[in-house]
Amino acid sequence: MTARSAALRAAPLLGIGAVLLVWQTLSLGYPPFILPGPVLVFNRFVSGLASGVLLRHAAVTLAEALPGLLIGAALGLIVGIVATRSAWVGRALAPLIVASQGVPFVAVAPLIFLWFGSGPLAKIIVCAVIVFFPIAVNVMAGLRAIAPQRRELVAAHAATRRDTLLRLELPAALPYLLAGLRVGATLSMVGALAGEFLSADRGLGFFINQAMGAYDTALVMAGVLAVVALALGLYGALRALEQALPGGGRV
Amino acid sequence: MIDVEDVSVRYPNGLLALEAMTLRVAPGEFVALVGPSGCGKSTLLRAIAGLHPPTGGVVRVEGAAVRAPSRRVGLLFQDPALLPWLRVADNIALPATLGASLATPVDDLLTLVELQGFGRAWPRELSGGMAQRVALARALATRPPVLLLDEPFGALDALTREALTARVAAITREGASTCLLVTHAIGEAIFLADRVLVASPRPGRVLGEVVVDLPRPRRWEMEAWPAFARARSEVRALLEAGPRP
Ligand SMILES: Nc1ncnc2c1ncn2[C@@H]1O[C@H](COP(=O)(O)OP(=O)(O)O)[C@@H](O)[C@H]1O
Ligand SMILES: [Mg+2]
Repeated sequence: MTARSAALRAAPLLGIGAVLLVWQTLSLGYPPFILPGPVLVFNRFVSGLASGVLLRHAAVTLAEALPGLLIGAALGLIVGIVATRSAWVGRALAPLIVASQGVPFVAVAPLIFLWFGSGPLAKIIVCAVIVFFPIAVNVMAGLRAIAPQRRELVAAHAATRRDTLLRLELPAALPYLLAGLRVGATLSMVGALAGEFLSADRGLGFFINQAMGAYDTALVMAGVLAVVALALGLYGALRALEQALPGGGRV
Repeated sequence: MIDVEDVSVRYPNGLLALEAMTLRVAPGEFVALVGPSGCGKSTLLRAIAGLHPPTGGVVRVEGAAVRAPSRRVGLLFQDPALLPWLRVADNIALPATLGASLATPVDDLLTLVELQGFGRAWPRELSGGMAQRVALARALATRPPVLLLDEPFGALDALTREALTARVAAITREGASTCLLVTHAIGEAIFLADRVLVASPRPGRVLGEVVVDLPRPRRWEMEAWPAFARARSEVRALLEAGPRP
């Protein structure tokens, strides 16, 4: 059993190792500006970190993605609550919510740039718009999933609307909100990068664009690596938050 | 005191769940209402608790007409409805976070339902019987003068059920609360109650009553006593006779 569990634990590392090995082998057959090997990419990544260039651009991207995520999530939470409390608002929003599930909202980024310029504000708005819908949908699902017995219990204690929200609805919707935030964090990164690809003079998207312009493929990949690290960091932080919840890992 | 006068409840879908139900529970009295499934027992308790206003008639609790839920009424339903994000102690103290004040310290309540040492446990770590005891402690936390019980142990195994029924009998008699139990379990009704009312199939109305002539404290050995058997057969007879034309 211990050998088995050790093997299970080693499996992901083996998977990553295999990919790196294939990548390194393939890269031997091509010039570095077409396919640089992992070692070269890693070196560029480390020197980018050491010079502070990567961190500077990552900070810019994070300063767009994070506020966008928080604003989109806050709006999604509020609208989700209002839509479940008022049957009228819920019905009015239903077609938008349904339609939103299949819409790639990144597509509206150029419009937002048209209206708000191409500074950090516009990118934050793009992120917030992308994040808003999945969060609102999740919060609504969470509130609708509250067992009627629990609603009745709280109602029977002559609870005010405010207490019902604070003591029942918000705690019950919290796991759904956090699951939405995890999806939202990735989407928010997509929004920030798309914005920077379109028009920017800083940020990881700009950094990658610039490296592409210089045909420095290894540097492009170093930038991508920074994006991956940032997204994973955000995801990990949210995961940790979820684990720290009272009753951790509850349904 | 609970005063149900001519109460009818018709659900929005047109279904008449209760028709002209009249019953009275005197202060400190324990009354059980026995009736077949679907006869409107839960509907009646919801109306008394102020959760669902009756479409006809009046419900009075402690003399005042019921229009909305009140803190003077405690509820124990079949589903313990514990909140999974709160520890056992916090679930028991829930009424306090909803604006009521606890009449008994949580530790004493834990002792009362024999769950000492479980205050910091999570609801998912409890068995069905333990969860229902937490719900009982929560219902008693504000020491409500009126306690409504809706098939409180229906989901539990027979042994746990008997033990908990005896526990409830002891606690509610010590507290001298006014209690109304609705159930389809005749034995439980007789064990707990001073009087057993029998309800007709839907729409529920009271067909008759059986006075339980057994001393307190009640014990399960009494099931073999003639008075218990007599009460049981009287309740049965009323149930089987059904509504009079
Ligand atoms: N919210 C509701 N809407 C419509 N019908 C209901 C509702 N709740 C209960 N009923 C119906 O009313 C009748 C009485 O239900 P209930 O009071 O739960 O009966 P009991 O508790 O005696 O089993 C049943 O036929 C049930 O299906
Ligand atoms: Mg019922």
